[in-house]
Amino acid sequence: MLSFFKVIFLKKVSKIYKPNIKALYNVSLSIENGEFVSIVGQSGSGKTTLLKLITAEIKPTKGKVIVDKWEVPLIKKKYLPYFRRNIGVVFQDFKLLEKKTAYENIAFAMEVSGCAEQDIEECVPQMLDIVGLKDKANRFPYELSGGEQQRIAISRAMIHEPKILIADEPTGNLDTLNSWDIVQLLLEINKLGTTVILATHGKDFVNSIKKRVITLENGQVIKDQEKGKYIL
Amino acid sequence: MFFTNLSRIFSLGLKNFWRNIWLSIATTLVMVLTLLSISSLSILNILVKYSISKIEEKIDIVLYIQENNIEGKIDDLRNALKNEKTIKEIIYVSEEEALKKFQEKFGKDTEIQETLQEMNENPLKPSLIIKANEIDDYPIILEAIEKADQEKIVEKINYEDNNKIIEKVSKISENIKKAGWILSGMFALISVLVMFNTIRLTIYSRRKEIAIMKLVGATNWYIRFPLIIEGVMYGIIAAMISTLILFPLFKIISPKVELYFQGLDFNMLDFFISHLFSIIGWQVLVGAFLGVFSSFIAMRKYLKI
Repeated sequence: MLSFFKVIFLKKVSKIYKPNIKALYNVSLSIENGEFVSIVGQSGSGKTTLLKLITAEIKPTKGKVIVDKWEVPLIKKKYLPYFRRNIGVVFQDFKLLEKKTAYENIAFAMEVSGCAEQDIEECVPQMLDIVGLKDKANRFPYELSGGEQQRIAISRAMIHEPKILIADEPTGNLDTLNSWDIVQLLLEINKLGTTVILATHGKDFVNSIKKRVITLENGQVIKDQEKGKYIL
Repeated sequence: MFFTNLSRIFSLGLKNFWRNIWLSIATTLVMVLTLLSISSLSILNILVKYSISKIEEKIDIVLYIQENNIEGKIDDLRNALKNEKTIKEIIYVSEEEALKKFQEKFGKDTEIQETLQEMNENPLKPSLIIKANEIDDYPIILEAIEKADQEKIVEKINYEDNNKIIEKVSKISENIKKAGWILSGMFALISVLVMFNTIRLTIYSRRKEIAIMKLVGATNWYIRFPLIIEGVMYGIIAAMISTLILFPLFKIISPKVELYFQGLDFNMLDFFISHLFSIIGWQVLVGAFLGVFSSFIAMRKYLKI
């Protein structure tokens, strides 16, 4: 594993909502480049809060959050878009743009960073091919199944070849078979060098992939195991 | 890269307009109503102004010249008054012309005709009809006349009689103009607020889309611009529809308005056609401006993240 530096570094991070709700409390952890980390815990344990802190969607009440050399809470508003382009994010509800086709959804991620039309025409079909959806390029999200939509979302997240891919309960809305496919896809992506952070409820996946598992409960890290198992 | 982005933003705006077509139609229609109300009120204001000015035109001062006056002295007076800027026109009516007009006016009244015939000479005096540029200037003109009339050839000025009428008309026209503007202003404001809200709703209904675009890393302007272009499109299309509606409307109203303005020589259709470009132009400008302005303000709320 390439571990020159910690690609994600949290030091004594707390997120407290008024009046006294501790979504995260005194969390310190670090993730190295190229790791595959599963973050598990019950609903309300702080998984989503943790991920939102990493993607700069929210700011911590206390502590340091460093992602790929950016000190996240200090990023100025106008630079946020550029920061976000370095991280791929995948969600439980896919978050695809409903009025755009599969192709356009992926292309959009490239368009916003001003990529040339040629590059887009080259890269997007390749990506669609990799996830096996080449022939559905011109379908709209409502015309695709859950699994297919998630694969489009992953393609969109990966099109910039980001260092980090964050998956927030990506299999939450999918059946078992599709879920396995998605997890396999994530593992493939990780093999190619991308750091993958997977927040999930899925016991079975976590236990079988034998990768690092961080367990959260009530906003605190209670377990951090290298070849962890999902035990609650 | 800038131009790639620019062309992308334009085509995005157009695509969005088309893909959200029902929402676009609804918003555009509201804008059409807004533009129609603003246009109708402006035209109403113009009509009111026009009719008032026509009425004001009919008001004048008549200087009755003493009898047995040589034309030379009348010319002197005329020349003296020529430089007075507040005077619009000075018309000379000789005794003969005065008599002719009188006879034309009362031609059918046999009693008057008989009385005239019994008098051997022309009882009417020559006169100078003075028209002012602004109805409020008549007092200034009176002063000017006193100054200019060195030889005192003016026997009588009918201003005092007309004064009351002039003052009344002046007051009424001021009030009508004021009322016209206030009403127009109110309606324009209401229409603008309605339209602003409609666009806000449009953007609200797309807030999910906006949030996703931010997550994927789009800058605020990349998200704003297509929406602003949509706003402009609403404006332009609405302006065109509104003009198309106004045209037949004018055709229908035209004869009725002319009836009302009988004798004032005013053709609405001609007015409309001659002003066609400015009518379209203004509507497009107002429509586009309203569209852009509303989009911009509405977006500030949803682009906070």
